[in-house]
Amino acid sequence: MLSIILNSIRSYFRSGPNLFFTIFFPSVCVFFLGTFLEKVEASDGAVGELSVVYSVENGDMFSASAFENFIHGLESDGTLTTEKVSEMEAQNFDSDVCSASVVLDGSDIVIYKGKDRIKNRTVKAIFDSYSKTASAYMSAAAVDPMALTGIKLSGESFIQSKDLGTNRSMMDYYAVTMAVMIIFMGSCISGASAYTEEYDFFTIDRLNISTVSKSKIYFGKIIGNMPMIIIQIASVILSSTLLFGAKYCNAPGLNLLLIAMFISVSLAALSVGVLINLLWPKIPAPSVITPLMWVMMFLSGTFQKDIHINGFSEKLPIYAVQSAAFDLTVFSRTEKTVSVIIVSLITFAVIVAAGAVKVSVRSKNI
Amino acid sequence: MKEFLAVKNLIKNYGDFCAVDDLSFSVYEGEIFGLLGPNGAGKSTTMNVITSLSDFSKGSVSVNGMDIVKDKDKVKQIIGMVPQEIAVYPFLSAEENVKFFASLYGMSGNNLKKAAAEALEFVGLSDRAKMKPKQMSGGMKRRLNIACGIAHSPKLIIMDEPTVGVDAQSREHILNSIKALRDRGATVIYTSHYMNEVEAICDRIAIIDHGRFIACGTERELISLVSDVKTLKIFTEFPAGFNKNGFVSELSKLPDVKGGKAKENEVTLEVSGTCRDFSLILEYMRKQELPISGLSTESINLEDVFIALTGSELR
Repeated sequence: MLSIILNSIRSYFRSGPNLFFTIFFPSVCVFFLGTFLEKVEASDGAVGELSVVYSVENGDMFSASAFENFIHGLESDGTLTTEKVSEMEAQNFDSDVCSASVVLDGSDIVIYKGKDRIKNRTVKAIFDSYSKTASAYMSAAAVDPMALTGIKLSGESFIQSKDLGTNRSMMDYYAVTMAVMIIFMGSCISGASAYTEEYDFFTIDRLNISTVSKSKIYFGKIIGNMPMIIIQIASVILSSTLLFGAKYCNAPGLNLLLIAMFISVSLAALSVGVLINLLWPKIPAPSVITPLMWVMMFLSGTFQKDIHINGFSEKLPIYAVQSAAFDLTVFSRTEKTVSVIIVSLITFAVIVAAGAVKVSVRSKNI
Repeated sequence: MKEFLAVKNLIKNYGDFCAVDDLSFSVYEGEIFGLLGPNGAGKSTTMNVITSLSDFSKGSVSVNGMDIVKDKDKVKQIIGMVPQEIAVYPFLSAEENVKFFASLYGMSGNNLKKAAAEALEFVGLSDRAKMKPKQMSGGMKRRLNIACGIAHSPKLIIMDEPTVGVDAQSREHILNSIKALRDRGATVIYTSHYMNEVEAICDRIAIIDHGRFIACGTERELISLVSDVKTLKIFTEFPAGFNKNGFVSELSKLPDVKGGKAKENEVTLEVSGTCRDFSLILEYMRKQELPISGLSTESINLEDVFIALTGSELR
């Protein structure tokens, strides 16, 4: 069995395409997706300076007072710079100078958008939240006007920012998704090619007539692929961390848990691949598995985080693993990771046992 | 001679299709045994059963007295196979390939190294040990294919068309290697569609068709099953008015001569297949003062036997 294990390892290291697609390619993906999509995802970073002109000429007295109070609060926080203008000026604002224009009409707010899509969204979000808060107060006042008079304002913000302890970037996002990609693609395809290679090289009969039992050949194939899994995971993690500055978990222990999850998922994917190859040895597994994996990865947000189908994506294994990995890397939450490890190891054990039963059946169709 | 392989009443069914139908034959220790049959005759199935690649429906197969089912591991240890395809790993060197396949039979360390070196030496690839198969010629790959099948010193070697697509030199080398294997004590089962190869190296030959045993014996025994006659052509110069019919009639009275005819300056005689001496015929011609300008014999060969026994229709 040792010979078969060593042969599998040699086969991996002497195959240029294998090395390219399992080590070099994912690392390059982390770099390119992380670098270029960082710009696409600019809304996640700095919005830039916001300057807004506003008019309350046509607002009712109560609304105008509250609105101006809100505007001044934003200005004093440094969220945006404002300038009070007439309604005419507000409607004809210079979009090269100002981000947007806001006009109070009665108690309604009208926003005149500027040229920058991200700034428009930000201004809208600010005034949407003001509008929602105002209507909440109005509802409360309608129920018990006196109750509102008892509220003491501390002058401090109600919102407290919790620093997650690390600055996250798209490089970090793709470091995780590419690691998951290589785990699923690399492991499953390696497993699914384990026997195909023997058929392609006509060596399967030589193996089967030898004194090594079919079960040992089967286990040799699985064990022989394990070092590749470790190398694949290590290469993605190390290259993304050392070369491209990606971050995973903050604590070493959590990183070990992350690696444990990656390895256990790899084992499950590998066993699925080998079983597929055992059941349908003459089907070119990569050409079947690869498109399925790409679709699954696409719908799981592996390549673009906004791509997601509610109620479906969550059920995909790749999504579940990515979700567990993000929970662990961003929020240091371990529950999902532990669940994924347990499910993966059970899957691995069950499939390996099923494969062992399959190979022990002594028959061959000629 | 000791019976080394015994196939008795072997039946192998695939559903309703009977691939091997009550096949029995024996192979003796130290002989090269040719297994012939048209495509789909059941040769591959029979060989797959012997090598434990395939199970069988009924019958028994024993190798060196061991049952291939009960003593599967022991039997596997003494069987080597050289498949029709070049069954080697392209990413391994010749030496690594041979070592890998020998290691599947429990060889390791110095024994493995020595066995691999001997196998490569045997097939004339010692100086190409570090070469990868893709860098080799077709003949070299074939020889490497053989080295991979014999490195663990099997006592029974099954060779399935080991010379397909090789040049004359490599074929000669391979055939000599097979004879050398026999001379070292190995028993060889050899299949090929090249009848001249089978004639050249096989001690005994079995012909099977439709999964059934047709005939078995030495080349001469098989030929005698089909015909005991060979053709002798004598080129001469008949004088004008020579009685050709009378001449042939007289020749036909000689021992081993079964009949004949004469036309223009050529006499065609049918002689006994076992006839090795034409001196009486030539003596008679000299007495008739007929010059002999040429002689040729046409014997029935293995290919004729094969066609006669298995039919000429395409499979």
